[in-house]
Amino acid sequence: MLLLVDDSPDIRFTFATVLRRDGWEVETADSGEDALALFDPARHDVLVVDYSMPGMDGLELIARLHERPDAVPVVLFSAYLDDTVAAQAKELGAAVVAKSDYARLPKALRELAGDG
Amino acid sequence: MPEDVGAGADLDASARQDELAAALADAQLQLDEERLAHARTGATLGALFASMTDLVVVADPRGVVTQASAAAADLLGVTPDELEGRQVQDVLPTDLDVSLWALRTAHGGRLQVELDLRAADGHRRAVSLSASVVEEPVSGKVTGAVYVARDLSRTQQLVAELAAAEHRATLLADVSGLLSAAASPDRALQAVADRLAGEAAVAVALLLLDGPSVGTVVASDDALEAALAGLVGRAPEPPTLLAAAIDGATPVRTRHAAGGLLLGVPLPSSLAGGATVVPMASSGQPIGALVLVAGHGDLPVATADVAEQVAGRIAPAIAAAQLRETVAAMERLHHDRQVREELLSALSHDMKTPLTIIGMLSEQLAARDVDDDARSEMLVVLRRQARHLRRLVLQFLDFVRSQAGHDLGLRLAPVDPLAVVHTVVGTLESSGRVEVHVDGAIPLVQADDDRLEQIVANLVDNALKYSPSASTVRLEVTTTRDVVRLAVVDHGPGIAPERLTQLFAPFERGPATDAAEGTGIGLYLTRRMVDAHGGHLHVASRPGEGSRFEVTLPVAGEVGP
Repeated sequence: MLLLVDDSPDIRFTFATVLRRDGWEVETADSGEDALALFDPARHDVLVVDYSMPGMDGLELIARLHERPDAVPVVLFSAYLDDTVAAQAKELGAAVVAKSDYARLPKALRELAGDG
Repeated sequence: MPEDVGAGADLDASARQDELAAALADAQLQLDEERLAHARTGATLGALFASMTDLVVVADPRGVVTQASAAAADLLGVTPDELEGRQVQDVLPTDLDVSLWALRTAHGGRLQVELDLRAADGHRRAVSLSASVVEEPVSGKVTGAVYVARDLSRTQQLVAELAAAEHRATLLADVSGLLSAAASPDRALQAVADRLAGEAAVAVALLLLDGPSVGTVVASDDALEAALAGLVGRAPEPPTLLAAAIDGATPVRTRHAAGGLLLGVPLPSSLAGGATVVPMASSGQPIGALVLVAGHGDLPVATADVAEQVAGRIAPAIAAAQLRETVAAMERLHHDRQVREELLSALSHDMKTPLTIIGMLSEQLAARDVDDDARSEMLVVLRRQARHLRRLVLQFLDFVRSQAGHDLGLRLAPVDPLAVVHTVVGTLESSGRVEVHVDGAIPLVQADDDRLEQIVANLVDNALKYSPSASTVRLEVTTTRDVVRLAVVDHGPGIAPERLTQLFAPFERGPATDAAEGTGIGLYLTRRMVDAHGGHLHVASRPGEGSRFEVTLPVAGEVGP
């Protein structure tokens, strides 16, 4: 199952719709805090995390997950990606995809799931 | 025992003689020593008298000069020999009686006074004169008098020069201060002209060139400024002294300012005295001239000199100010370009999200196997994102217009604020997080409904964006007398007091800049829109508790009978 984290309901709806049609089972969280509470390595194979969120942002969420021994692959996706953030995310083992580049997302997810 | 007696008497007489001889020798020795000492004293006194820079005259009890210093002779224009043997009041010619008699009777034996001495050549010399009667310590018998006079004319001259130098230094320091402190170059020049005019009681004008022509004219005197206004836009032409000074890069003075010869325009009749034109240049290029005109009579040489020094201060200040203006203009241009570039970049980022959603959902809608519920939900999201995109585009256009100096072009009409509030909340993604509170019967406001929608949407979007996703945002609509108040209250991180003032500047964003999407022009445009409505946008915030943005708008005027 895929855990999708984004503060925008329309983004959650849209990406969940597309990912479900692509065969994924999708669960959503509307904040980094919510995602940490919801995350269950037994159920979630991969996380798709928005970068720009009030409170805990995507990068912090990835860092928190990275500390856990039971971490799963993560994709950071954002409309507002700068190189520094992308580099930091990659250092934490996450894949990085721009939201506008959503066509790349399914392929990236398959690769990640295959590797994991 | 006469022999014995006689012999003894002889012996006594001989011994007495020896004693007397010894005593005489002693006395002689003592006398010699005293003579020597006296001679030494005399030599010392002589040397002293010769080396004294002050006039020293010693008089005997009759008031006759017995000794005089060389300086006394210098001061009075005679040799010391000529002074000795004359009455002291004759050698010290003053308006005051300084005779020994007067010294004893009128002045109580001691005199300390500043007065003029008349020298042999008739010149008066200011001196400080001390005189005292010399008396024997015990008997009190008068043995003479000593007169000491110090030449004050050199001192007075030095004091006058020092005062003038100090004054000039103060003036120049003032001018420098005025040049650097004033808000604009024009004001600085006006201040300098006024300061200089007050100094010398003359009219002062500053002319600045703009290319070859006179660009700016500043004067301390209204009539002069009015006359000089005729020069603006014209190049100084020969044979005017203005052209001569500027072309020759050297100050030109005249004794008569009347007529048009000075500057090329007739001056008011109140200014007909001497004048000076001091050219000002920077890096060898003429930049203008400083003009001083006396009402009548000559312009004092010292004043003209000061004018040249002042002009020397003004020129670099003007050059620096002009350079600063050029640099500032270039920086503004650069900043504007940067602002536009940042805006385009930020806007393209902001537009990506609705465009992505619209793109993704329209692909989904094209699929055949979408059920009706899913389809209608997709359509709701599509419409909302299309509206969001439209707002962003409008915002962008408003910003471009505001940068070009255009107003927002409001179309004002009575609008129901509640209808606008419900439209905004109805099209929000997170409408569930917004609580609307209405207090009382809300009257219509005079507004442009599109703009009012933007105002409310911007404030609510902002509140949602900067507060925790689980928190609610409160939208209050209230009214008092002639205004309607729309308040948006969030429970976000709040705004630090020092940031409140810059909050409405373009591209200002909250501290969560990295993580919060947005162009940063939202609040800037919101404020502009509220201002254009004749309303007020007020923000109150407590860090850690949240913020309250409050818009007050005037109620629509009652329709006349």
